[in-house]
Amino acid sequence: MLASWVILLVAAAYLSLLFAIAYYGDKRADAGRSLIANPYIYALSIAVYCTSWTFYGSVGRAASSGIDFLPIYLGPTLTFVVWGFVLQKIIRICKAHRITSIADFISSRYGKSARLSVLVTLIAVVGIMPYISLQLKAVSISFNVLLQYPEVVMPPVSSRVPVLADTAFLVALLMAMFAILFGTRHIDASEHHEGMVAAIAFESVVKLMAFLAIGVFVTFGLYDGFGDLFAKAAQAPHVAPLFTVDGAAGYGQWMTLMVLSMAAIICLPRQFQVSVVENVNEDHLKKAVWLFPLYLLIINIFVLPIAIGGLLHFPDGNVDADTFVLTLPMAEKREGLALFAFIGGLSAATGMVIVAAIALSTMICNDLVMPALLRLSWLRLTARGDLSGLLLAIRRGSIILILMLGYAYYRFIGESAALVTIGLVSFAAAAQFAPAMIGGIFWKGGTRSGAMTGLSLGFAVWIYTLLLPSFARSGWLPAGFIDTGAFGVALLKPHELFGLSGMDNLTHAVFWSMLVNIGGYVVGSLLSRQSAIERIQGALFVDVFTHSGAYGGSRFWRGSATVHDLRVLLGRFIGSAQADQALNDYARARGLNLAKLREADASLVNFVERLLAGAIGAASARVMVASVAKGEVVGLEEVMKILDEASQVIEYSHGLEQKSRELEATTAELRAANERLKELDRLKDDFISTVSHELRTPLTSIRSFSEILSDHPGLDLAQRDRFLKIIVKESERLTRLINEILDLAKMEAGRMDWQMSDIDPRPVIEDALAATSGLFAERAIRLDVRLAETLRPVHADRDRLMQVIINLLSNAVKFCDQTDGHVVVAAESRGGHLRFRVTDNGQGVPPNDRRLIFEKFQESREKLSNRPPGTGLGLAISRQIVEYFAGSIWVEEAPGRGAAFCFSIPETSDETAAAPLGRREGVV
Amino acid sequence: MARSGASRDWSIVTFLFAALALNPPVLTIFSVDVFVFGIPLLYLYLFAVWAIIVALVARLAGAGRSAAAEARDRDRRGAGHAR
Repeated sequence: MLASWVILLVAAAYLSLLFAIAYYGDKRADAGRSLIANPYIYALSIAVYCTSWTFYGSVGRAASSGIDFLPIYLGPTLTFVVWGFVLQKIIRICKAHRITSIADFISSRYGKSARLSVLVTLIAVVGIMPYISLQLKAVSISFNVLLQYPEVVMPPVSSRVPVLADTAFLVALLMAMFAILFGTRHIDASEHHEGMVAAIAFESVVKLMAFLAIGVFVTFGLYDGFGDLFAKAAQAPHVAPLFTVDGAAGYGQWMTLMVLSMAAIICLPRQFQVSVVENVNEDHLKKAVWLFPLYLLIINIFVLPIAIGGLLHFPDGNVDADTFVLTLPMAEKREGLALFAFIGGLSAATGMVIVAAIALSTMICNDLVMPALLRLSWLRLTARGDLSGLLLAIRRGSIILILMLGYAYYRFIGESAALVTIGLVSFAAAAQFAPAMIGGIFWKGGTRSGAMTGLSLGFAVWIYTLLLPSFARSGWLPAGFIDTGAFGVALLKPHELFGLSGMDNLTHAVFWSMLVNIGGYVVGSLLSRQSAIERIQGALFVDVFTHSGAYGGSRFWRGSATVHDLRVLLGRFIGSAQADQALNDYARARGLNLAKLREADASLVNFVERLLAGAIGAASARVMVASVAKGEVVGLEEVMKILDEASQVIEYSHGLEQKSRELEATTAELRAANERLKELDRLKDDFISTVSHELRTPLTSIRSFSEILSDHPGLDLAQRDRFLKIIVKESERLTRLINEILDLAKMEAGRMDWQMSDIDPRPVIEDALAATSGLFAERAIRLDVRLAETLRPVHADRDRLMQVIINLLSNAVKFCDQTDGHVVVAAESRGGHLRFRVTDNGQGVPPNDRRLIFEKFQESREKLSNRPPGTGLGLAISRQIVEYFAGSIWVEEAPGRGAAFCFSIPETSDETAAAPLGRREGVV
Repeated sequence: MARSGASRDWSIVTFLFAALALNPPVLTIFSVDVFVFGIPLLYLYLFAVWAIIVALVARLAGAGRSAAAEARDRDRRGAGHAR
C-alpha cells in the first residue's frame, strides 16, 4: 500500500534534495569554484530535452504507432552533428553580446528591435503553454495513478473536480514556487543559474536511471531478454505491426518530426537557456555534442520494449499507454520500483518546467514588461533608484503566470490528447524561430521587417492550424470550425488549408507555417532596407568568429556619458555592489582609473550596455543607455566604412595605407619642386639685379665720359683720345655682356643654333691657345701645353667648344698668380671621354664655392681686391655648352696651389654619334 | 575558427549521411518483417546507425583542438619568437 503521504513525502524529499543541490551549486559559484564547469554536467543539463514527454509519452507513442517516437531524438542528433556551424556560432554570439534569451537573440540580430522581441516573447509564451501543460498533466496523472496502488485504474478526468482540489493545479503551484526559488533569487548580469544547472543535471541522471530500471525490469524481469520479448510480441496481432512501418504513408510524419526536433533543440527557449545561455565554457560543447546524443540513444533503447510489455500485459486497452512506465511495476506489485518511476517522471517534468519558466520569465520581464514600463514616462522608472527588486518581482509574477497558463491549457484543452500530440504543438511553435535565427547567423541581408513578417505569418498560421482546432475540439470554438472552415469557407478548413489534403494535421501545419515564415522572411528582407544598426548587428552576428575579440559588442554609441551616470544606471538594475565590482574589473583590465575619469568613452558605454542587456534585454538596455548617453548614433556611411566584413576592413585599410604612402611621396615631390621653384625665383631675382648692376657699370662710365667730352669741348687731344678709348672699351664690354646674356638666355630656352659635327679637338685647342696667346704674353705667364699623342674626335659645335676653352684659358690668366703666373693646359683621352684641364697657380677656389661658380654671376666670393674685369657669365655659359655636349664641367684643387678647371666630353663612337641630338631637350 | 577545415567538412558529410540513413526512403529498405538476433531489423538498424553517428561526432569533435590548447600553443610560439 502506497499511502498518499508516503508519495508526497518522497516527492518532497526529492525536491528538497534538488534544492539543496541547487543551493550548493550557487554557493560554489559564488566562491568561484564552479560545480558545473565540466562538459559532463553541461551535457546532462542539455538532457532537460527529455521531459515527461520522453519518460511517459514516448512509450505511449510507441504503443500506438511503433518506431515513430524516434525522430524526436534523431533530429537533435543530426543538429549536433553540425554543431560547429550552428550551435557554436550561436554560443559565441551570445557570449559576445550577453544575450540571455531567444527574444534577445532575434531582436539583437535585427537591430535591437523592441517590437521584434515582444513578438518573439509572445510566440514563446503562447507556444510553450501546451508543453508546460503536458508536464502538469503527466505529473498529476502519474500521481493519481500511483495513488490507486495496488489497483491499476485510470484517474478521473480533472475537469470534473474543482480547481483547488485538482492535483495538476497543486503541481503547477508547487512547480511555480520551485522555479521562483531556483531562478529568481537574485539578478545576475551574466544570467547564469549555476545551481539550477547542477540540479537539472542531477535530474537527468535520476530520470535516466529510473527509466533504465523500468526497462531492465520489463525486458529481463517480465520477459527473458529482448529476443523473448520481441518473439512474444510477434505473435500478438495488435503488437506485431509496430515493428515495421507501412509504406510511404506510414512515414508521413517521420520527416516532419525530424525537422521539428532539429529546430527544437535550438529554438525551444529552455534548450536555448541550458545549451547557450548557461554554457560556461565553449570547449564543453565538444564533449556534449556526442554525450547528449548518446544520452538520448540510451534512454530510448527501452521505449519500445516497455511499450510492447505494456501492450502484452494490458491487452484489453483500458490502461492509458502513456502510463505504462508506472503501471507495469504497479501491476507486478513492485511498489519501490513504481515509486522510483514516479520520481523519474517528476524529475523529467520539473526539470523542464523550471528551465522553461525561468527562460520565459526572463523574456517576459526583459522583452515585454520592462520595455513597456520604461516607456511609460509617468512611472518615471528611468529616474528611480534600485530597480533590481522590481525586476525580480516581475520575473516571479511571470513564472506564476506561465504555470497558470499551462494549467489552463491542460484543464480546458489538453486533457483528452496524448502527451506527444500536445508536445508537438509546442515544437511547431518553437520551430517558427528557426528561419529568423538560422537566417540571422548566416545571411547578412536578413532585415527586421523580414523577420517581423516571417514570424508573424508563421505564428498566425500556427495558431490557425494547430491552436484554434484544439480550442474547437474542446468546445471553445464552434465544432464546425474544423469541419467546414472559418465562416463556412471550405478553403479555410484549418486541417486542409487552401484545399491541401492528404497530410496529417501536424505536417500540414508545419508545411504552411514554414512556407509563409521562410517566404515572408526572405521576401520581406529583400524588399526592405536595413538601418545602420541592423547592418552592424548583421555583420557582427554573421562574422562572429572574425569579429569576436576585436569587437566586444556593437560599436554603435559614439557619444559619451559620465562614469557616474553609468554607475548609477547599472546599480539600479543589478545592484550597486555588483555594478561597482563590474566597473572596477573593467577599469583594472584596461588600466583606467575610474575615480579620475569623468567622461566615459564609447567602449565603456558599450560595456555598460552589454551588462545591462544581460539583466534587462538588449532592447531595454539600449533605451536605458540612451537615457544617459548624450551621443548621437553612428551614421550609415560611417558604418559602411568602419564595419563590413573583416576582410573588407583590412583591404580598405591597406588601400588607405597605399594611398597615404602615395600621397606622402607626391607631397615630397611637390615640396622638392616648390623648393626648386623658390630657388629659381631667387636666382632670377639675383640674375636681374646682377644684370642691371653689370650693365650699369659700363653704362655709367660711358655716360660720365661722354658728358665730360660734351661739357668740355676744350679738352686737349690726348685727354679726349683717352676718354674716347675708354668709352669704346666700355661699349665693347657692354656689347659682349649683352651678347653673353643673350647666348645664355638662348641656351636656357633651347633656341640656340648648334652646328654639331664630329670634330678633332686638337686643332680647336690649338686655335684657342693661339687666340689667347696675346693675353699670356701680356702678363708674362708661363704656359705649359701637354696634349696627348692621340685625341679622338668628339661630337660638338666647333665654335662653342672653342668658346669654352678660351673662357677657361682667359679665366686662368685672370686668376693665376699676378707675379709668377703659371698655367698648365692638358688634354687626353680617358674612358671614352675627351678630358681637358686648365690648371693655374692662383688662390684656388674654396670647396664651398666649387659648384656655385658655375652659376650665373657667381664669381668666387673670395675676390681679389683688384678683380680682373669679367662678366661673371663665362663659366655659366661654358657649363651650358659642355652639358649640351653630354659632358660635364667642374673645378678641383690643383696640386700645390691654385685651381684646375676641367671638362670632359664623350668621344664619338657609333652609339654616341646621335646622342647629343637626343639630349637636346634634356640638358637645357 | 575553433575547428579545422577538414573536420568541418567531415561533419557536413556525416550530417548528410545521417539525414539520408535515418529518413525515408532508405528507411523503408529496413522496414521488413525480419528479426536479427531476435530483434526487429528496423529497430536494430536505427539504433546501430545512431550509435555510428554518435561515434563519428565524438571522433570529429575530439579531432578539433580545444581553444585553450590553441591559446597555450600561441603563447608557446610567442615565447619561442621572443628567444
